Amino acid sequence: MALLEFSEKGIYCPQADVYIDPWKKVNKALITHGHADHLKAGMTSYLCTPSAAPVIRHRINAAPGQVQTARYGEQININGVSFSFHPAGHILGSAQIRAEYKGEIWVASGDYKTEDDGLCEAFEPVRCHTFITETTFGLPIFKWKKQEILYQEINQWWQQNRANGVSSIISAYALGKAQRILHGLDTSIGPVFCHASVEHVNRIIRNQGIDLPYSMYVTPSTPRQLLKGALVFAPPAVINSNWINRFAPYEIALASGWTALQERRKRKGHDVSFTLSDHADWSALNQAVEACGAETVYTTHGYSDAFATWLRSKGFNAQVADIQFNGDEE
Amino acid sequence: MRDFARLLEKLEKTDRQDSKVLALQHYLRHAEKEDVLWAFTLLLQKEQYLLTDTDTLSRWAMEYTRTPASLFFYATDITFDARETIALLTQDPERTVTAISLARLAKELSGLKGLDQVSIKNYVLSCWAYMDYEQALLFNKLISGGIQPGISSRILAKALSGVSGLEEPTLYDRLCSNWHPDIISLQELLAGKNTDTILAKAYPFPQPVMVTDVPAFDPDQYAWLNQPAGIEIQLIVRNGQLYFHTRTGSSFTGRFPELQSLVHILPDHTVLLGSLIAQAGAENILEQHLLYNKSTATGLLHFAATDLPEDSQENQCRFPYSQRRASLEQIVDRADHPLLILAPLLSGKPATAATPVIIQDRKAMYGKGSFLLPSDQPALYLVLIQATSGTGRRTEFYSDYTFGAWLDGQLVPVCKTKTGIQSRYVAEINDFIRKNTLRQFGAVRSVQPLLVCEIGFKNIERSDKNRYGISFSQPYFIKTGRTIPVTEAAHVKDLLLLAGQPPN
Repeated sequence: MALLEFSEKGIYCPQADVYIDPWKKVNKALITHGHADHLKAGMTSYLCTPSAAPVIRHRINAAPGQVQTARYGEQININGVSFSFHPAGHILGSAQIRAEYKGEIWVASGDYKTEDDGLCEAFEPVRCHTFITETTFGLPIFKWKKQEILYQEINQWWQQNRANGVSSIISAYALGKAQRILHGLDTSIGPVFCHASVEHVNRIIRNQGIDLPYSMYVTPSTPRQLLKGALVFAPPAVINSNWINRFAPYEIALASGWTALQERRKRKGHDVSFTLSDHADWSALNQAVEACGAETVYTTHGYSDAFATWLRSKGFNAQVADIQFNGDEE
Repeated sequence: MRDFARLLEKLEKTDRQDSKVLALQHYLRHAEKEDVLWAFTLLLQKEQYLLTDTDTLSRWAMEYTRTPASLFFYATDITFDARETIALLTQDPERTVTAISLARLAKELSGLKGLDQVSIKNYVLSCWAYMDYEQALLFNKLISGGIQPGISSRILAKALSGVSGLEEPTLYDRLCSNWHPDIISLQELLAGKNTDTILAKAYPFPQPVMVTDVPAFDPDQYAWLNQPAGIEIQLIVRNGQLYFHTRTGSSFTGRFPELQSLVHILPDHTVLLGSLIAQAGAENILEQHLLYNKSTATGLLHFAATDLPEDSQENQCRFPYSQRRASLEQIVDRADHPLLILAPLLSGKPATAATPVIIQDRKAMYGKGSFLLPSDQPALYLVLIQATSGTGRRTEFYSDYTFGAWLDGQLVPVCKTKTGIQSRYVAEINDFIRKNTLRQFGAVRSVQPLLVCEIGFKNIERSDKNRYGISFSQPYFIKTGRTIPVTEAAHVKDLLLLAGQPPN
């Protein structure tokens, strides 16, 4: 019996009878982070890191006591299996989950990035025998620029738009990407507004004692004059709605790792793009696999087959994790 | 070079003419002055710098970046363009980047024409070593396969007119004239100095009205002729020079050396309207001429004349078609040149609609009374393998599809289209996609290969830009075939047969 298995409900530990990031109803769920493809409502109990918990409670509308927390590195013993959470650097509170039983160690990475963004807990490699890694960008064509350069590009774009009286709208996910960019902004340029879904998350995160730059809700009573030349965060879902008309004239920027490809940049709906990702690029994935010292690697999400083939050619025992598709990625 | 790369991306991103004009104007205002004329040369495809082909370039890149072939091709299935895969692989975000000007690059590339592959390889590798992704992508495109910006002299004249304040028709004539950035400057072009503007001036092309119902065949009232399959062109002879103009305002003057002898045979100041057509089995000769400006084979191309706007300095436009046709027949007869033929009149109503037919009113003056009967287009079955969300009102739907054909028991991507699909099929296919998603890559979903679709197209050609060597021209969606088994879908080898010979 393997310590972790890929079941139709999620990554399963039979010895402890718990699931990691399950997508069907189970009793005990260990959650790596609060993005929609890793967190589903309806489990009896949840366990996650303290810094991930507020957003998770908000997103699943949790009952008191339903979401419990374990600090990074804290050992949680469930039926002889020792579980612990370790920083994954993906978003605030995101974790890799380590499981140890009779000397055998597995790590499920969840989503991760190795670059320290200064906002969330920085990625730490965890030694293990078997590593389940995400491979969203598991091809050598994905190489990220340093975030400082991207922040500089974003600030320049905003500054130029502001000088022309044009609002700058950034299409970014409400949890994670929006806060990361907000953290990297030069807020001396002008005011920052957020769509309610983004600002909700911002406030939850500020309440955790995280120092995020000041941002405001956009309300129907917000004076148009104030919106002119402002920077606005909006989730991708509202970019095509009437909601953004109030900012006219505006330019829309898409901040996503996928904009590395010209085919995606040429898609309509945005004027400029910034290739900023919260996932590891090719070299970071390779480094992470090397650093954890695993002999066996399972790949999941994105280009899992190509990455597994590559790892096998490098002498790893690698295969694609048999996980079914379970909703939109963030 | 970066400005130009960004301009190209903007141009490729939009189909709207006003957006293209705005993008061009933005470029004209911000670009280095010495680059602008080179940019025009590339946009209007007056000059090509094809040093190698994409396959060779891919081999060099795999060797240079030590990427296994399997990964390289896997990535190219994602990017759909090996030249982009190469640019992504050779870039290094950590490195400090040197930006070079378009003018300097164009001069360097001109100097490499005709050199051996080893020198070219060394040059290419040295460029990859300093270029960033944006520059490398443009560079790779320029040296293999070329760029297809879809910009005509007309659009360029419009953009230029907004920036320079000069009249659009004047600028159009100047852009269509014979010029080269080696010889003149932008100011000289704008001022019309050192260009032979008037000489090269083309007549407006007729705009036939599309008809769907076949009218009664009446050879006395209408002349019926097959639309020649090649590229429509005006052949202009003036002062011992031969000029070629296309409908889009592109000038191909200086190309097609085999036709140069017509200068001595046709009367001076004569303009013929017609089509350049390649002989059967040599269709890619035309493409080589137009895209690559290389003419290895001669005698495989001829000019089929359909109309005569000007004969020996006399404007024929006001005369009825029957009279123009008679003069045209005389000219072709007198010329007696194997490469100059008349587009033959049909003797009866065409039995099959294999090629489009032009129906020309015999009494009408030039450019008037012209009708076009479109042809039936071929179609085949392909399997839906990937889908991406659409744009505009289809943003919420997966309406942009990739289709696969069989190769060695596997379905491989050969065709992408979002054209022609009706809303009821969008709904049906979206339902299918939601239930059959295998994996998701950002906005792209790959699906179980279960749904067969009927795809129409204008033509299939060989292409070394596609990994499987196939390029569909103008593919469009016809309908889904739920009841058709996947095994009925087309095979790559059949497509290659349809596409004919590979380009040399």
